[in-house]
Amino acid sequence: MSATPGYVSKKTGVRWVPVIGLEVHCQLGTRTKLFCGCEVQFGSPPNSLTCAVCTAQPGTLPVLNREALELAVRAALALGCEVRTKSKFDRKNYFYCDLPKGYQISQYDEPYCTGGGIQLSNGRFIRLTRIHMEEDAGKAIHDRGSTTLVDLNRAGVPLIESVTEADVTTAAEAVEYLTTLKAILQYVGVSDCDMEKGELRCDVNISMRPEGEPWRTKVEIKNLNSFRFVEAAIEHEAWRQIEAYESGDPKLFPVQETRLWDPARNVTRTMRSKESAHDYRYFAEPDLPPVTISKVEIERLRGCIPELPHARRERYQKELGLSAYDAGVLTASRALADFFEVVARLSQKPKDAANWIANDLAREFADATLGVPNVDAMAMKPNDLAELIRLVDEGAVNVAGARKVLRVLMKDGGRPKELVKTLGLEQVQDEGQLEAWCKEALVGKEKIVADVKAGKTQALNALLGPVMKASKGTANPERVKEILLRLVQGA
Amino acid sequence: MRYGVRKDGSGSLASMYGATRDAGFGPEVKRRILLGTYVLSAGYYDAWYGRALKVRSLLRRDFEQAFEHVDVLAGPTSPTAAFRLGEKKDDPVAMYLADVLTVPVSLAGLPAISVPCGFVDEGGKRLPIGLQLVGRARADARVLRVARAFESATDFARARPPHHVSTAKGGAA
Ligand SMILES: [Zn+2]
Repeated sequence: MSATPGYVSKKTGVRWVPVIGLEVHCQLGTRTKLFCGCEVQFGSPPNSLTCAVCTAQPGTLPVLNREALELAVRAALALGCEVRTKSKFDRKNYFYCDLPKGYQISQYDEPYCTGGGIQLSNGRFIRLTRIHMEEDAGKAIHDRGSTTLVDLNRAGVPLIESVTEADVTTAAEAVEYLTTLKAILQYVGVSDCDMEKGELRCDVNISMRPEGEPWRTKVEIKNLNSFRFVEAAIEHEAWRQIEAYESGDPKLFPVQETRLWDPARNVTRTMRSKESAHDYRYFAEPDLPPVTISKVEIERLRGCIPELPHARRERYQKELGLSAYDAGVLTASRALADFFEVVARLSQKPKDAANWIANDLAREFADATLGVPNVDAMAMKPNDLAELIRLVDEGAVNVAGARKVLRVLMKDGGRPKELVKTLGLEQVQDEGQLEAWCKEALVGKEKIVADVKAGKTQALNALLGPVMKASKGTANPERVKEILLRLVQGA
Repeated sequence: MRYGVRKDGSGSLASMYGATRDAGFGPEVKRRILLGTYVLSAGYYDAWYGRALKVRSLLRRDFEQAFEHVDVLAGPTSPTAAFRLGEKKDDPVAMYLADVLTVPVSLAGLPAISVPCGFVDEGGKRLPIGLQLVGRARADARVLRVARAFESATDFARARPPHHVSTAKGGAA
């Protein structure tokens, strides 16, 4: 366990402990919307993916998308939740131009699942209160002159909203929870969780209290579309609340309200206070029958849950002998882990595969995607990397040369063997040529020769550079060392 | 807004909604929206909506018990004969009471039909009255069969009040 979480005030010396709950909306990766047959696709022309149902024309009725229910249940099972065989939909009423019906179909008092949670690496368990299904609203675009434009392509897209208990106690725990949640949802094929497309959205509920004291007023923070923002917003909001309480002026104390994270200024600001808070006036959706799913069906779906990240991580360490670090990097996304497994199988060298992917590949991606390699967007296929590993193993190219090949493969693709040739990276296999370079390097190096003869073979390393330089990097360093040793000992 | 009235209000979205609903809805619709909003609002939800749901369950159970003994329930569709247009405009509760025999059936989610079953004399006029037939849940077909049997066995469906003028083609009123 880590040290007691909290923020110690410099002013008063009081340790303030955050009480944090997280609400995450995740878009289900269905082909069509939740209650109509419209396709779900990001970036299509405005209002091109709409129909009479999702634009709320009079007389239309919703019909539940069975695939959405199955994906929602998979998510629940992967998170250890209890899935109910019967749940129902409710109407959540509010008026806004992005919501053509005047209500959102959601689940209120009988969500399809309860319980479950996520285990953190520090041993703490973050409990889930519930997960429910609901439809997304459309998008209101305000930055086009004086009028507001409405795009209903997103209206009716299926979502699950997961809500935790107030179990999170630090910004780092929040980020780990979210990262793990995202990985699990991706693993079980529930969602791509692409935050840039809004497929994963997070709200934070946070209140601060002096250690040991009861909970105080909670504040909700919205508009957190990256995990970095979540971390920064919690840090900022924690201190804002501490300073407010320590001002001693009750007028400045935090009030129950919704605040927006402003990433440009690194602050949270009031969005709406409790007085103007929505009263959603939920009631049972009369247009939809109760949602039913049989125990048999739930068990069938449970059988389809693939190996989850933490199980994979353990297996990589135990069975393949990978380091905890490599196993962690590889399992950060399902696509990356799948990629690794294909390379490991084709090359028969899991450790080399792990090395290349967790280090070289990850490094190449580091700038673009904050450390998580986006395997799908890459030109290189697993069999290419497997071949490259084999070429290194056979001595056809050395590691430095292979790195150059890797960079080209990732960007433009191609055949590794041909790239080694066209980039002039073929290792010189010709013993006579290697020996000639080695002899040249030994000229006038009597001291080194004497040291080596005296048993200090590492003294040879000083000669490696000149030989590699003479070969323009195409010599195999291991082979060069062998030849040097043979020449010295034979002399 | 593709159908119906649209009033722009003072430019904002909320004022457009407000102006449109104000101009487009009649007093009875507004009354029901206000009532519905009130019973669903936080603080009154459990007291009104929650209790109403419980009452509905009791009502449904009551009907279920009745159907253990009978196939179809028969009774008047309305407690009174038709009142004049606008006559109860100022007394909404009296107007709602006209629905007292049909609303419970709807709340219980049961299939029902109303068929003509004769006339009463009221205020010097002969006014038609309806017979309501109610079946258990999902027994829609049975309700329709009973209604058809009743119509075949009686002449009420073809009867016309005295002042009704039939057209040459036997058309409607
Ligand atoms: Zn649609």
